[in-house]
Amino acid sequence: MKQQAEKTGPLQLSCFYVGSALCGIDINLIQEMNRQMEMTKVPQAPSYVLGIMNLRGRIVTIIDLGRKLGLAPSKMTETSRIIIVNSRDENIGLLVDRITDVVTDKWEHVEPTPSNIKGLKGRYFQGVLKTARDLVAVLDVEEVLADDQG
Amino acid sequence: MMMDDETLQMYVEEATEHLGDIENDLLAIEQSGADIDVELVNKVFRAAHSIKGGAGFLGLIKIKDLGHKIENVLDMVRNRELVPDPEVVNIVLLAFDKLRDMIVNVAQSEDAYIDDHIAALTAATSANLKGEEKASVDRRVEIKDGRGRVVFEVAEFDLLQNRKGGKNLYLLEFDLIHDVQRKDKTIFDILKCMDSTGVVLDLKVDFEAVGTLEDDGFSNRIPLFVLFGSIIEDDIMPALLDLGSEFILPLKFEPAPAPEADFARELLESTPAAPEEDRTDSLVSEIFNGANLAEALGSAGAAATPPAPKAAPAPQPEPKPEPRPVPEEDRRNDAKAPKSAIAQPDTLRVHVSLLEDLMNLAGELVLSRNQLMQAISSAALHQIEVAGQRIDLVTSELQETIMLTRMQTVGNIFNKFPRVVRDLARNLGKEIDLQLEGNDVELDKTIIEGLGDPLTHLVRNSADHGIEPPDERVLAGKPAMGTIVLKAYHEAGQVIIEIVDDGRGLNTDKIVEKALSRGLISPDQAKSMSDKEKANLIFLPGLSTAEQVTDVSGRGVGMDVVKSNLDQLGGQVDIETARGKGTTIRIKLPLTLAIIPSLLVSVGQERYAIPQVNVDELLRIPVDQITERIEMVGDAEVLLLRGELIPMLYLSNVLGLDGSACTASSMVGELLRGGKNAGQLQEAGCTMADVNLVVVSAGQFRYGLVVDQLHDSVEIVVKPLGRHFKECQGYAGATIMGDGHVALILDVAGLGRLGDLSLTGVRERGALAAKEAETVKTQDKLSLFVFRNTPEEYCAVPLDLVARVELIDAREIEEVGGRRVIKYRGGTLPVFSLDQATTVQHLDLTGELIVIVFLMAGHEIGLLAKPPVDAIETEVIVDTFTLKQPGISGSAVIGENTTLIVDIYELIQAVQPEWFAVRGSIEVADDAGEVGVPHLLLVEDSDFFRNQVRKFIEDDGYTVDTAEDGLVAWSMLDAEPQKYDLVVTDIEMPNMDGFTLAQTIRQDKRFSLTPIIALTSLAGDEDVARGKAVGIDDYQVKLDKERLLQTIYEWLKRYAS
Repeated sequence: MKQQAEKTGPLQLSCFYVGSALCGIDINLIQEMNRQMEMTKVPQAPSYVLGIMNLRGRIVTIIDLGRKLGLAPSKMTETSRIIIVNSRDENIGLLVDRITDVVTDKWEHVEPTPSNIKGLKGRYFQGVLKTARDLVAVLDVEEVLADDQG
Repeated sequence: MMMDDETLQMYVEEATEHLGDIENDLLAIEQSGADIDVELVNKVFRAAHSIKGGAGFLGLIKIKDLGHKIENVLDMVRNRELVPDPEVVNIVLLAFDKLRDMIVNVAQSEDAYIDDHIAALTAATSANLKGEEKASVDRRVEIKDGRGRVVFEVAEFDLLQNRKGGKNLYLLEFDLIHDVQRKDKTIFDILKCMDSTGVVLDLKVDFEAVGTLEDDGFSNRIPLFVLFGSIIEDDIMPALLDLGSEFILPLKFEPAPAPEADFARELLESTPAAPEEDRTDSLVSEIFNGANLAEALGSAGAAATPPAPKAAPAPQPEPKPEPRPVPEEDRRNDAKAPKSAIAQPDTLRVHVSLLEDLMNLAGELVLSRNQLMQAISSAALHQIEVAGQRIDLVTSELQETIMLTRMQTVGNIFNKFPRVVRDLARNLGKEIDLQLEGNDVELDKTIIEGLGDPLTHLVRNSADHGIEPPDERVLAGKPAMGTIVLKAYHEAGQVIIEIVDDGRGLNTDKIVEKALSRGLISPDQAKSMSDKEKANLIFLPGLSTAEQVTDVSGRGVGMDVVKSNLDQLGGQVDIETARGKGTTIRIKLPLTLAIIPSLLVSVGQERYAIPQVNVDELLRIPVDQITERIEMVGDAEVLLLRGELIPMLYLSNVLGLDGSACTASSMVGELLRGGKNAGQLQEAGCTMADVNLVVVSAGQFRYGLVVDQLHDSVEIVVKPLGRHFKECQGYAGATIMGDGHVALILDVAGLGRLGDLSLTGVRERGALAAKEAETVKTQDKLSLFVFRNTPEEYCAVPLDLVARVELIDAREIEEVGGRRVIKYRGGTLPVFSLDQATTVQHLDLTGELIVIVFLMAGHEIGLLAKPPVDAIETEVIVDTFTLKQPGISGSAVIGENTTLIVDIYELIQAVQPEWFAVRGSIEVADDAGEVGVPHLLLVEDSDFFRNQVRKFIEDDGYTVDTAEDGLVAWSMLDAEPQKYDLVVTDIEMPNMDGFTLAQTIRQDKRFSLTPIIALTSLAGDEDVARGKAVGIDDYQVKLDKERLLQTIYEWLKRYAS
C-alpha cells in the first residue's frame, strides 16, 4: 500500500460516483465498462457480491462497490455501469452508480488518504487527488478485491 | 550453424518422439540382463541413431557426439559384447536424460556440458574390451575426401567395429541442393534408407565447401558428408543411394590405415608405459573428485593430434567403475532446470478423428455464416432465425470439441515414474515395485501439466522416506520388495490420484514435535489432534521434515510446495498413515475446465446444474402420494424409496433462497407436520404441485434434493467461480447456458454439508429410521454416542441419555464460583469434563469443543468433549472389569478403538452431589417405612442396560431380580407370586414384549396391584397411551436414573399403603 502511494509518473483516473462519493481507478487497470445488468445471483455469497455474469464466455464476479466500501447498497439505475477490471487473472466487475470523466494528472499529486473520507473505509484507497472541481478518492483495486470479508 | 526453424522444430519433435519410450525400453533391457531382447535393443539403438543422424545434419555437434557414444554402447550390447547390467543401463539412461535436455533446449545444446557423460560412456565401452580394442576407443582416425581435405575424425574403434561386421566403409558426399531438395527428398528419408542397408558412422554438412561468391570454386553445392558402413559393394551403391559414383568414396581402412591414424598410433606407442598408468589413475581420481573435470576430460578427448604425452589416453588396466557415479552427481545438480522445460511441451498430440471433427465443424460454421449473410442481405427474418440457430448449435459443438482436445491421459505423467522409482531404488539400495493403475484416466491438459511436479515429489517421498531398506522390511516381517501403487480413478465427479506405499508410515510424533518447535501449532492444538490431522501437518509451510530427509533426496522442497501446487489446480490432498504399515496420499482433482454432462434443475427463476455423475435417479411424487412416500423421522423428512430411507434436502432452503409461502418445502411440511390435508392447503391459496426430487450421491452422502423443476441433461463447460466465492460450499463452479445466462453448478457433497446432513446425522437418522421401520424387537444392539476426551481416548455414553449435543468454542466457557458454565439458551449450563471426576487424561480446553447435554434429576448438565463425535448402533460386549473405575462403567471395543463407557450417573453425582442429596433422605425414609427390603423384578433384554439399571436400583437399597424378556419374567412371577413388589420392564424385547407382559400381569388377579413401570427409549405419546391401556402404571425414559428411582419410590409407597 505504502509503496503504491509513492508511485510516480503520469496518472489517468477514470472517475465515477459510488453513492455521493467520487472515486477513481487508474485507467490502466480497467479492461472495459459495460451496462449489461443481467446477472445470476449466487446464494450464500458474501453480501457485497451481486452475482456473476457472462462476459463473452467468461464468468465475471460482480461486486457492489458501494456495499464493499461501506456505503449503502447500490441501486440499479439507468446510469449504473459495470467496470470490468482484471485482478489476479480473474475478471471482476465493479458496479458503480455513474461514470463521469477521465482525469489526467500525476501520481505525485495523489495525497495520502485522510483517515475517513465521507464514511468510506480508508484502507481501500491509495490516496486522494484534488482536481479543479472536486476531490477524487483513488481506489486501491487489489485491496478492494481482496477476498477477505469487508 | 543453425538450420531454419522449421527443420529444427521437426527434428526436435522427431527426436522427442524417439526419446519418448526409451526409458521404459531401457528398463526392460536392464531387467532381462544378459538375456537380451535384440528387438528391443535395436529399437533403442535406432532411436539413438536417428537422433545422432539428425543432429549431425543440423550441426548440433554435442548432441551428435553424445548420441554417437550411446550408440556405441548399445551396439556392443546388441552384439552381446556388453552385458546391460544396471551399471551400464544407468549410464545410458543418464546420457539419454542429458540428450533429452539438450534437445529440449536445442538452441543451447552446444553449450551443454557433456564431457562426463562421454567419459562414462567411453569407460563403459572400453571396460569390456580387450587390450588393443580398448586403446582404439580413444584413438582418432581422420577421414579425408577426394581432395584430401579432412572431413571426419572418428574413433578408430568405430571403424574397427564396423569392419568386424564385414562392412565396407564409404565416404558419401550428398549435395543438399541437388540430391536432396531437387529430388524432393528430406534428409531423413536418405538417412532412413541408409539405415536399412548399413550404419551411418558420422555425418556433417560442409558449409566451408560451399565457398563464397568470390571464390572461383563456387560449387553451387552444399555437401553433406556421410561416413557410411555397409555390406553393400561399391558397384551397387550409386543405384541404391541415387548418388553419382563420383561422390561415393570407398575407404580402405585396416589394410592401409590413414597416415594420421598411424601417426597417432606411433605417438601412443612411443609413450612410456609406466607414466601412462599413473596418468590414468590421476585422471580417474580427478574425475572422481570432480576437480578440473572439464579440463582433464577435454584434453583426453582431443587425442587425435596429441601435442603432449599428458593427453595420451591409456588403456585402462581393468574396468574402473569409479568414474561412473560422476554423471549422476551432475544429473542431480542440473536436474531441476531442464525438468520444467520438459514438463511443458508447446505441442499437443490430438487424435486425428478429433481434428477431423473440428474440420467438419469449422466447415459447417462457414456454411452457416454464408447462410446468415445471405439471409441478412435479403432481410428474410425466418431464414435469419434458422441460420442463427444453426450457428448456435455449431459453435457450441465446436467449443466442446476443442475442449476435448485438451484432455490427456494421466499416463502421460505416470509413465515417467518407473524410471524415477528405479533410479531412487538403486541409489537408496532398496527394492521397490511400482504399480501403475488407471493410466487412461483423462484430465485436462493444464491439470496434467501442473500435476507432474507435485506427483514426482510425492512418489519420491514414498520411495525415499516411505519404503524401508530390504533388511529392515524383512525384520518387520514384510516382503523385502516394497510396493508403491500409483493409481488414478474417477470418483464422485472428481479424479482421485492415490499414492500408496507399504512402507514405514509417517512418524506423526516427530512431525508434531517439529511443528511445535517451529511454533506452527500450539501444544494445546497438538494434544487435540487426531493422527490424521497430525499427518496432515506436513503440508504446513515451514515444516521441513529435515530429520527424515536422507542425503540422497536432500531436495529441500517441502510438502507445502506440493500442497500449494495442488491448490492451484483446485485439488485437495489428504494423507493417511499407519506406523509400520504404510502411507496413502490421496489427491482429489476437480474437473475444472472439463466438460461434464449435467442435469439442469431450477428453483424459482434460477437454473442450476447437477453433475450427472452425482445423479442417481429422478423422482416425481404426486401430491396425493406425498404423505405415503415421505415420512418424518425426528424433525427431518425422509423419503421412502423401495424400502430405503433417504434424507431429503430442499435446495431452496439450503441455499437460503427466499421462496414464497407455498414452496415444496412448506407444503410438505404442512402435510406431514401440520396435519392439514391437501384440500385445506389449496383453500389457503397454495397451488399444489408434485414434488420433484433428484436423488443424488457423492462420497458418503446420499440424499434427495428437492427442486422446483427438472429440466434436460446437457453437457456443460465447467468454469471456475471467482475467489470471492471460496467460502461458498455449495458450488462446483458455473457454466454458461445456451442463452448466455450463467448457471451455477451444484456441489452435491458441499450441499450435503451445508444442509447439515453431517455424516453422523445421516447415519443416525438412518439408524433411527431403521429402528422405527423395523417392527421386530431385537433390542440387543446398543446405541452409543461416541466422543473423545483426548484424541486418543475414545469414550461413549448411551445415546438415549443424550439430550442434545452442542458445538461451542472453548472461549465460551466461564469459570463462575469455582464452577465451569456456559451461557446456553438464555440460561446457564454447568459443564464439566471427564477428568474432573475420573482418572482420564486432562481435557484440553481450547478450540472447538463438544458439549453433550444430559438431563439429570431435572437439571441439565453438559459434558465437555472433543470432536469428532459419532452415533453408532452396535452389538458390543462391555467389559465391566478391566477399565472399571468410578465414573467409568467399563469399556468396549468399538471399531478398532477401545472405548470407555461413561457412567454418567456416577459422574454427575461426583460433580454435582447436591442434586442427589434430596433423594438420599428418601431412601432412608423408604427403608424405615418398609418391613422388608422391597423386591423388584427388572425385565430388560440388553445386558448392558440390565446391569446398569440393576446396579443403580440396588444401590438405592432394593433387592433386584432380573429377567431377559417377558416370558422369563412371567415365569418368575408365576413361580413366586408374592416375592415381587414392583416390576420394571423394557418395552421392546424378544419373545414377549413389555406390553404383552404388562397385559399378562394385569390379567392375573394375584398381581392386580403390583406397580409396573415401563422403561423405554422411545416414550412417544402413542406408546404411553398403549401402555396405559394394558396397565402400565408409569413410563420412564431408560436410564434417567433419578426419575426412575423417584418413580419407584412413589409407586412402592402407594403399593405399600
